[in-house]
Amino acid sequence: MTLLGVRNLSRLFGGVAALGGLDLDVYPSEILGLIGPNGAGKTTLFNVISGFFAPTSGTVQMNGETISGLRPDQIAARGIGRTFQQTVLFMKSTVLENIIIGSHMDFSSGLLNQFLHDRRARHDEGRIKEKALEILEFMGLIALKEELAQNLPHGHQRTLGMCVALAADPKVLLLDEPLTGMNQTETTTTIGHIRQLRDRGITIVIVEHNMKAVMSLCERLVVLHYGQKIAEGKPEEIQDNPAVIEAYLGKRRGGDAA
Amino acid sequence: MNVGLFFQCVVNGLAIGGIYAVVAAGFTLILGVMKIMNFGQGQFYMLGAFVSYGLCEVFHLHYAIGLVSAFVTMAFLGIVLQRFVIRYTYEGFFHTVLATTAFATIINQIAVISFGKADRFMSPVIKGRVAVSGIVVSNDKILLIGIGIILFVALHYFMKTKVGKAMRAVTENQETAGLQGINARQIFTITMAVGCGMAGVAGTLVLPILGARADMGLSIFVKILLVIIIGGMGSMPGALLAALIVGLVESFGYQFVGGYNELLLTCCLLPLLYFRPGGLLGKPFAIPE
Amino acid sequence: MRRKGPVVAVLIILFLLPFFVTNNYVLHLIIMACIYSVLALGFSMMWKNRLIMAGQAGLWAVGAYTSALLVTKLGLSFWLALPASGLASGLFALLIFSLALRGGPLLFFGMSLVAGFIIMEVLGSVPFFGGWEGLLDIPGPAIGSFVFLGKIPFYYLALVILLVNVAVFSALYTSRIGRAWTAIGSSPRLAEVQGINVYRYRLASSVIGCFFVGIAGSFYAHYQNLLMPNTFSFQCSIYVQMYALIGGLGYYIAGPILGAFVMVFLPEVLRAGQEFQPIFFGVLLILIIVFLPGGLLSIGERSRLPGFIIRRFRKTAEGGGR
Repeated sequence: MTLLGVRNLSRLFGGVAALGGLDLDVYPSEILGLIGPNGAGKTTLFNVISGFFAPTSGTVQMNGETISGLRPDQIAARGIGRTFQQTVLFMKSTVLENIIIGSHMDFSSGLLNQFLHDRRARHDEGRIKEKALEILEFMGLIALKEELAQNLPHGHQRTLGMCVALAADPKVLLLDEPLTGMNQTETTTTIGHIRQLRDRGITIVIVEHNMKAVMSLCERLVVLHYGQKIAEGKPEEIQDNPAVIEAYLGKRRGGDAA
Repeated sequence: MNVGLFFQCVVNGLAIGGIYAVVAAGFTLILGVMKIMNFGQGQFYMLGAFVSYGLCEVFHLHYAIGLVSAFVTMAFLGIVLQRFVIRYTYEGFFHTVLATTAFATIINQIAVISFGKADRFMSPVIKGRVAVSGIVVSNDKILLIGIGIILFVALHYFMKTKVGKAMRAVTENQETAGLQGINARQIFTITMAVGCGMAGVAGTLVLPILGARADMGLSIFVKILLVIIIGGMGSMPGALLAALIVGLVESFGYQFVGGYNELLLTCCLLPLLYFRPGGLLGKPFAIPE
Repeated sequence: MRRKGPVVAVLIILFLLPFFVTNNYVLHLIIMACIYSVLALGFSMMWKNRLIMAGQAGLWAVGAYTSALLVTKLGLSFWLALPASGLASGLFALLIFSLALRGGPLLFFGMSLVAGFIIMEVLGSVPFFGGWEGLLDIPGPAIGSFVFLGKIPFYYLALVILLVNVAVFSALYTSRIGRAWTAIGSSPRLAEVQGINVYRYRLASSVIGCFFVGIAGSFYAHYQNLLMPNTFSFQCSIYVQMYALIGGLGYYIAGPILGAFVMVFLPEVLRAGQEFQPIFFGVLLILIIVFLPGGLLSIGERSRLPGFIIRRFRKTAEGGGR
C-alpha cells in the first residue's frame, strides 16, 4: 500500500538527466533511506516531489493522487513536508515564531476572522502557540524559544528546521541531510527524534551521508547513481551490493567522502 | 513606403538601437557580475557626451580622442562610485538601487545647474551623407553603427581574456570563483569601469547626431530599462536584441505615429512578457533572496 | 493593543492639533506628510514581501486622476470618488502585477518602475487627461452645504485616512496574513513548503498597498484642485522609497511615517535652496545608506554610533567582496 509513489520519473536540465526513469515506493510509517554518491540526484528528487521542479516526464503520486506539476504550497497541503540541505529558516524571527509562522496551514479561522482578531482567531492563535511549544518541547529546543533563529548554533538550527517542517503536520517528511554538521551527541539525539516521529505515524524519507546513522536508522534503503536506482533493499543487503560499492568507490577516488 | 525611406528608418533604428545597446550592455554587465542595478548608468552616458563635447567642440580635438577620453573618464568615475558607495551597499539590492539613484540625482542636478537646459551640438565627424532613392542618411549615423559593432566585437573578445573569464566565473557563482583565487572586489572594480565606460562612449557616439543635454541621462535610462525588461534582465544577447528591436520600433513608429514613442513600445512589446515573463532571451535571474 | 493609554493620548493630541498649530503653511506640510506617509506605508507593505515597488508615484496618479475625472466629468460626489479611486489603483495594481509577479520580484521591480514612467507619459500626452498643463478646477470635498475651505478640514481628512491606513495595516500585520508576508520576505522557499502561496500573498500585498495609495491620490487631487503629470515623476517615486528607507525598512508602520515627516520638514529646517535640494537629499540618502542602512529607527539597535562607523570602514577594508 504505497503512500508516496514515483513512476518513471525523469528530470532533465539542459539535456542532462538528473533523474532518469525512476520508480520508487514509499510505504506508510517506514523510514526510507535515500543514498548515493554526490550528484546522484537525491536532492533533485526531493525538489521534484516537493514541487520546485516539474518532472520532464513521469509522475509523483501521493495517496493515489497525482501531485506532480502542482505548486509547492499545494503539495505541502497534501501532507508532504521537507527540510533543506542548506539551513533554511526565518532567520530574523524567534524560534517560537518560526514554528508559528510555519503553522500557516493549521488555521481554522478565516481571513476575515484573522483580520478582525475576533474570538475565533484568538482561539486559533492560542492553539497554534500550544502546538508550537509542544513541538519545541519534543525536539528539545523549548529553552531557546525566544532566541532569534540566526543566533542559534548550527546544530540547533538544523533541529529547528525539522521543527518547522513538523509544524506543517506532514504525513511524509523528506529530510535532506539533517545530520550535517552535527556532533556525536546531537546526531544520536536527532536519530532518536526521527524514530519517535515515525512512531507518531509520520513516514520518513531521509537523505544522509552519515553511513553509520543511515544503517542504524533506516529499515530500507534506495541507492541512486546518476539519477537512476541501482539498488534497493535492507541495509545489510545494500552494504554488500557490488554495484553500490562500485558507485561509491568510483566517486571516492576523485570526490569527497561522506 | 519607398526603398529610400525604408533604408532611412532602418539606419536610424539601428543607430539609436545601437546607442541603447551599448548603454544597456554596460548595465547588464554590472547586473550580471555584481548582481546590482546601476541606476546611475544614464548619468555616465550624459557625462561622457559632455566630456567629448568639451574636448571635441571646445578644444577641437579629434573625435577619436573624445571617444577614448569619454571611456576613460567614465570608467574612472565608475570606479569612484564603486569604491565609495557600492562597496558598502551591494549586499542589499534595494540599497544599491537607491544609492545609485541618489548618485544619479546628484549628478543630474549638478549638470542641470552647470550646463543649463540648452542642447549642445557638435559638428559632424564625417561630413556628408549617403543617398538612396533620394533619401539621405548622414554619414555619422553609419559611423555610429560601425563603431557600435566594433565595440561589441571588442567586448566579445574581452570576455574571452583571462579577466573576462574571471568576470564570467563571478557571474556564475561568486563563492566558487573566490575558491579559484579570483578576487571578487577587483573584478567588481573592473566591471564598473567597463560598464560605466561603455555608457560614456555611447554618449560620445550620440553627440554628433542628437547633441548633448544635461537631462539626457534620465530619458535614456528609462529606455534601457524597457530594453532590459524586454530582452531579459541579466542577458547580454537579450539586451542587444531588444535594444535593436526597440530602436527600429521607435524609428519606424516615429514615421507613422509621431510623438507617441514610449506608448508604441509598450503597446507592442510588453504584452510579449505575458508569454515569456523572463524577457526574450531571459535567463532565470533573481534578486538574491 | 495592550497599552491603550499612550495611544489614546496621542490620538487626542492629533485631533486637537489645529488648535495649537495655526500657521497654514505648517498645516499644509503636515497634511502632505500624512499623504506621503500613506504612499510610503504602501511601499513598506510590498517591501515586507521583499518586493520593491519602484513606481509608487504612478499608482498615486491613477487614484488622483480617477477621482478628478469621476468628479469633474461624471459629477460624482467626492465621497464616492474617494473609495472608487482606491479601487481603481488596486485594480490597476492587480492587472500589472498579476503578470509581473509571474517573473518574480525582479520583474515586479522592473515593471513597477516602467509603469511609473509610462503612466506619467500617458497622462501628459493624452488630452483627455489634461496633457502636460494638467487637469484644472478640481472641486474640493463638501459635506452637504459645508464646503472644505482652508486647511483644517483637509487636515482632519488626511489624518483620518492615515489613521485608518495604520489601523488596517496593523491588523493585517499581526494576523496570519502578516505572518505569511513575514515568511515570504524572510525565505520564500521555506514559506512555500509550509503551505504559503507566495504569488497570491505577494499580489495581495501589492493590491492592498495600492488601494490606500489610490485613496491618497483622490485626496491629493481635491486638496490641490489641480493635477499635473510632472508631480507624479520618477523623482516622486524615489522620494517614497527614501521615506521608507530613512525611517527604517524593518519598521513597517513607524518607519514610513517617520521618514515622510522627517523628509517633509527637514528642508524647512535647513532652508535649502530649491535648486540644491535634490543634491542635498542625494548626499543625505547615500550617507544614510552607507552608515545607517537600517534607517533612523535602527539607531536604538546600535550601542555606539561612532564605534559603528569605525567598524564599517574596517569591515570593508579587510578582504574582498563580502
